Amino acid sequence: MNNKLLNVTNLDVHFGPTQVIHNVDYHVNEGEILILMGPNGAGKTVLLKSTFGLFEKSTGTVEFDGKVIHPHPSSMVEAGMSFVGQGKRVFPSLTIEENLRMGAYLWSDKKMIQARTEELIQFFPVLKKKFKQIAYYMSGGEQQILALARGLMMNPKLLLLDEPSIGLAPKIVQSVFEKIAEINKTFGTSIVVVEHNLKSLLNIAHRGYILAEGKMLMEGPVEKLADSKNLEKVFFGEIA
Amino acid sequence: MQILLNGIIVGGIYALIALGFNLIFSSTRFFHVLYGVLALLGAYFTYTFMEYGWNFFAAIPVAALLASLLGVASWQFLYKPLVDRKASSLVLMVTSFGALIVVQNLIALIWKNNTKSISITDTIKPAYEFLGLNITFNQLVILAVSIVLMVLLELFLKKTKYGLAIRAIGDNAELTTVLGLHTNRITLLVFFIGTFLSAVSASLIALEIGARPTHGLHYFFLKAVIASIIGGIGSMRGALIGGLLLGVVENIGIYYLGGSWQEVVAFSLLTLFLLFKPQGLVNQMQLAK
Ligand SMILES: Nc1ncnc2c1ncn2[C@@H]1O[C@H](COP(=O)(O)OP(=O)(O)OP(=O)(O)O)[C@@H](O)[C@H]1O
Ligand SMILES: [Mg+2]
Repeated sequence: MNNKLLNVTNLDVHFGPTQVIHNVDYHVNEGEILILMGPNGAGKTVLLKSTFGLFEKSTGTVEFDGKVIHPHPSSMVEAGMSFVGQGKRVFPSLTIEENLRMGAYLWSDKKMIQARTEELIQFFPVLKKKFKQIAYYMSGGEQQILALARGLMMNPKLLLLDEPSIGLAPKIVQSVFEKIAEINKTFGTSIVVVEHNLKSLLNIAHRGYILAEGKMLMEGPVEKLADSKNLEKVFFGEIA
Repeated sequence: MQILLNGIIVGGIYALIALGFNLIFSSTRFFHVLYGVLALLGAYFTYTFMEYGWNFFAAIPVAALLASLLGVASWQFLYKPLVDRKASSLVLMVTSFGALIVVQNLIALIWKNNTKSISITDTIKPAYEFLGLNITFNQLVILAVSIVLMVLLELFLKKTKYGLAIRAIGDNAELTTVLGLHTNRITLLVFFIGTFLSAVSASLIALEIGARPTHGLHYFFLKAVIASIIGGIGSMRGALIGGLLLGVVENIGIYYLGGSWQEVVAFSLLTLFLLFKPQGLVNQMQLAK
């Protein structure tokens, strides 16, 4: 039996009177890449954000790394979780170096920060070229890489990624996904990826969930999810 | 040349006021109108300490410190509760304006409506001559303090961890929360520094024009806004350039048209910018988009 790094149970989230997440359970095993799928508006972003403490949950427990935590971004970051969101991903007027520095803001040991920065620019060579330039001039794909690198600065145990492919050209999407797999292998980071596009993650993810209308519909290995008639119903039912 | 020098000296102060204003604006994204009158309070505190026999240079920092604490309190107890309830920037501005009126009236109540003047020494020192230009002792002090504060601010923002966080919040506040920063602490720091700069500027200006209850809105807030808009709102470099430009243009206007035209010149400059370059000289907001 795998060790559960993150275990979320009975999660409810409300915005005012409307309930957006309905009694959801999910977990992440140590070392795995987990994919979270579902149509637009299913509640994937809300699920991640309330796990991380960016939205307040109404009920439910979040257990991370063996401890029950009341989610709040700063305590989650301290505990070893990191979140890369869907929206604006970088600080445009800060240099790449400063953007990375922000990823380890809670660290004060300069040598540690320096060493980790070096390690990550070796790992993401695109960042090396423009190291002292401001992030504003980077392409969308480069910004996504920078956001990933920043999310890895404190060497987190778990990385939450909300639609890392959004707004990127298909070719770049593939390379970003390959990088995600490489992160998992090299640093042993467990990763949750929210994606619409199941196919592109098929070879990378180990396990997945399908969420629709705020409820967990299915759980299983990626192959099973990809096969299922349920998937068709969820997605094509939505589009039609 | 003399006009240019005078303009630069006044402009330096405008720049300082605008820097503080912009610092607060870029991390909170609303017009903190109260800013003007908190700056003015700094000048009144300086005046009062000096009435008790304090030296000008001792009074200024302590007065600015007191004003800064009020600035910090205005965020924590006035704006933050509203922001937590998702109030719009318009609501915040109206609230801020209301608070300004209250404080302005309190000032009139405590210190009366007449102009209070401050001078560093009892005797009037003769102006220094320098390359054919005249510079008074007051002007020299103003220039020196402005330059020192600007350099310190620049070093703080560029070289320290807190400076980095302040710039980051100006860029993308949500992202700083995601990275685990306690953004409210940083915002409090921003209010502290911003108010401090403005209160020192107000005390310096009071050397030249004294302090009146209406200066908060009519002088400090307006100068801050005009200099910021010319320079490019949200930008530190812009505030500096905007302040200097405003000071110089005003002084040229005063020289050719007379003192009563100062405001007209300032607003004409503002109008020109709003018409032809509304984003200001340094377009920071485009970066932050
Ligand atoms: N801050 C908010 N306030 C109120 N309702 C919200 C908020 N954020 C999300 N919602 C609602 O919650 C539901 C789920 O939204 P969510 O953003 O989690 O969807 P998603 O699965 O991430 O979709 P997408 O694939 O488009 O990103 C939607 O109905 C949305 O309108
Ligand atoms: Mg989403």
